[in-house]
Amino acid sequence: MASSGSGYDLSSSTFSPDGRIFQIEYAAKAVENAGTALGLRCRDGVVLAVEKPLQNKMLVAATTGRRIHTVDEYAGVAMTGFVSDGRQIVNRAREEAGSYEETYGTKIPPTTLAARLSTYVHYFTLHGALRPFGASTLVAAYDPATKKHSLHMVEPSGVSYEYFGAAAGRGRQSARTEMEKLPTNPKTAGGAEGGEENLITVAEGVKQLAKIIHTLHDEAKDKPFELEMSWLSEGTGWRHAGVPRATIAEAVAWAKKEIEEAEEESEDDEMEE
Amino acid sequence: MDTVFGVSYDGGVVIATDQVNARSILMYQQNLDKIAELSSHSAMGVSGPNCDLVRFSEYVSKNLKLYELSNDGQKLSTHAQANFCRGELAKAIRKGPFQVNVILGGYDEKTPTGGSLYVMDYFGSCTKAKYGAQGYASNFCLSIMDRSWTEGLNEDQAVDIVEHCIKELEMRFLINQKNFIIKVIDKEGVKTLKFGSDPADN
Repeated sequence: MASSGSGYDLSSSTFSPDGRIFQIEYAAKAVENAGTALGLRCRDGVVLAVEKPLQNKMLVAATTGRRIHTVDEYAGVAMTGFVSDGRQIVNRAREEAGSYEETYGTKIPPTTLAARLSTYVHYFTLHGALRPFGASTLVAAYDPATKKHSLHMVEPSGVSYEYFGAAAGRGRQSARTEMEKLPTNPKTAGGAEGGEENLITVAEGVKQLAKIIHTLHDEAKDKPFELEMSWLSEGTGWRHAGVPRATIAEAVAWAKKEIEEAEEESEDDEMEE
Repeated sequence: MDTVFGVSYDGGVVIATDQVNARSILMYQQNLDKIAELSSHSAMGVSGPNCDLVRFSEYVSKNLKLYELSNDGQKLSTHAQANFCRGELAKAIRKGPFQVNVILGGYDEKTPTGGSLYVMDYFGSCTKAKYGAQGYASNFCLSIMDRSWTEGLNEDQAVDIVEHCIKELEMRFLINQKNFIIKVIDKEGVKTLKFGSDPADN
């Protein structure tokens, strides 16, 4: 796996001889071991989904421990990793969005919000007594001035990019592979010519993300989980809102059926051989 | 004593001010530019003591520039700039006020008519308006603008209204303001249409 820190990993203010800061990498590991969080930018909006493992059987499900939060009228944040660390980032996002609107009288542009969170998260990677955040945050936002929606992800190192589709947490590798198959890039959607009209819609995105989360979830190994989803789209007036539980349930039912059918097909193929 | 007024039109705004810099019985200069350019597509006509004019306009324009530099070249809309200005005026009023009344005008591509005008006073009140005037000039100019302004004016018509206001002031305002400076802000940016020279200039 990763090489041992051997003395260069005790502080986030120390580089290793090969140019790495181990504390940041360890923080990223904390995220890698946590529930999968997905974000998808669609033609008419952005969808966020988080797999929330139910730690033990005594938990009252569907109540506390939310992983997705609204930070502004047109912006929402999903997190995975140390949930308490993620919560601090959410609070900061709310402060940044609020103070921007107080100063400039306009909604904070998504790129600016992502940049502010980046700066905040990065600060904790080089200040003496502080430790890096052990959480990745996916930021879905809409800018009423440019009428564009976007998805950003901020990692524990403070790095943030804009994405068509983003994944963090346990199942991120396979999730990325699955998301790449979806038509999210206007340059390539639906064939070589691409085209805006071929892009996946939010309604379809909800179903696909539910399917990806359920595909990645290993019944035997992983704990039972709850699926949290949110969206902002033309349909919600671009406001960030939770996907209605009924819609999630429908999406999950569809996803489970698709997965079953795929399994039967591959079983049939195997039997034929 | 300063005259500051502005008129918006379809495609931009026109801002005009007098150019007098005087105190007591002494005329310091007749060619002062009281319209501070804030960004590539916005400017602010300022009335009040010269020190506060300079302090406030430079503070605002440099902060707007800092925002552009810190945020990857992202520009603030006129609405955002006006909100920033009024916030600073409001913060200062109970500490060390900027004794300036301003008219901020700017051009934004995405808005329906392009031009927008904001009238602010030194307390930090701010309102978006089609036209406005600060100081004694308002007594003379507002009624002219009320009568002449309509939707869908072009630049020449807006400048005509401004010229009309200037003539009225020259005729009826007690304080003699020989020179006026007129600036137009449209999609090309800020341009100075007219300005006067000081008798001391050769």
